[in-house]
Amino acid sequence: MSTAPRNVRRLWMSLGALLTIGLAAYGHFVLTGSYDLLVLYFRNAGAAFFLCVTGAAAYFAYQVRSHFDATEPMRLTWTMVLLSGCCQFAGLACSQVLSMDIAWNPLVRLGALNAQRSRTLHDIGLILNSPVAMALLAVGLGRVLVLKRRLELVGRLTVKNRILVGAVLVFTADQLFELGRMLAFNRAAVNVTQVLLWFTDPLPAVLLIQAVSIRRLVINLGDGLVARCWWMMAAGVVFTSAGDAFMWAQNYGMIPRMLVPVGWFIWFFPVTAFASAPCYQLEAVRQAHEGSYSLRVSPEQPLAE
Amino acid sequence: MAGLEHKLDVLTSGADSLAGAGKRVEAEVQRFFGAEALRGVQSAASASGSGTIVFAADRLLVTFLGRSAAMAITRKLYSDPK
Repeated sequence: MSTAPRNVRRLWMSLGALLTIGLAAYGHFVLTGSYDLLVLYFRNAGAAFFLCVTGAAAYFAYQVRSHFDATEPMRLTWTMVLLSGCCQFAGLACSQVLSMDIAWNPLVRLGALNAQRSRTLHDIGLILNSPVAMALLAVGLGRVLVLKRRLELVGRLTVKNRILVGAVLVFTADQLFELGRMLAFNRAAVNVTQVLLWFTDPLPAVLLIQAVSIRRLVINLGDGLVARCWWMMAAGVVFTSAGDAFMWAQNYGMIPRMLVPVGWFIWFFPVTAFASAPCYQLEAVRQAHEGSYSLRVSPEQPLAE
Repeated sequence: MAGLEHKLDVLTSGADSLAGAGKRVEAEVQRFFGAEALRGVQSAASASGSGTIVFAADRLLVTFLGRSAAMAITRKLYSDPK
């Protein structure tokens, strides 16, 4: 197995460094019970990491997309991944920076942030980052599965896979039932933001089912660069679902107070995985062109490194 | 696409070059997709007749790497027939 592309190594090393600092902040919380250092960490280092990595993910997806002509089916997939990355970036910029009272928020510096604007920006950020980005990614991943089925590459789901998919569907049905009950008994408390955010519950289920199918496919393919690209995309979906599951457990009081911040750290993993996926595809394209007399990419003009 | 098919035609014009091209294409499929994908392509090719491996692999490469990258691979195979 060859080593990971340089950009993938950089991404995961950055995450490692961020988590090391985060561990110190978490240790401070465990020892003192104070959230101060953790909040400082997530509002500054955490938010900066989210912005840089989602920006990089969108840029890498744009580069991959440019290697497919308009008539090629994978162009649509990468367009959707690019749009999803852009929505994630814009959403995180709104919810993690522009709506926050932090020193490097330009709205704070301009004196243009008030409570109402902060709430609006936060809601817009959540909608862009969750249901909109997820829906676009689901379209992209769905397209990959359709193409792989056409090439007779999609493997059958195992019993374990089917049980997992069944559990996800039951969980989603339970969430929808809860929403229905809320609508029936307290319709006045529902606003547009909440309605849009409701899609955040079923969409990870759709993505997780797609991720399970892609995982089966990757097992069927083996360990090539293209396979690893889609393996990483599926890993991003699984990390997102893990974060959602943690939040769900927290809402039902299943997580002890001391472990609550652990769930916040989970969200660094999906963004890193989503940014790593196109790097494998770019490395595959670079290796395809390496040694060829192609004008578009030459060894002197490497793509991924 | 026509250019690619032409190059592949040239590649597969003789029995020796066909076998050689098949081996080189197999190496490329393994590099980009993995050993299991290669086995899948090989079994599909053996079911359909000799020479199909180039075309089965070509479908994979064109779809998931793009026409430009698949052409680059074909050019490499064509310019270095060893």
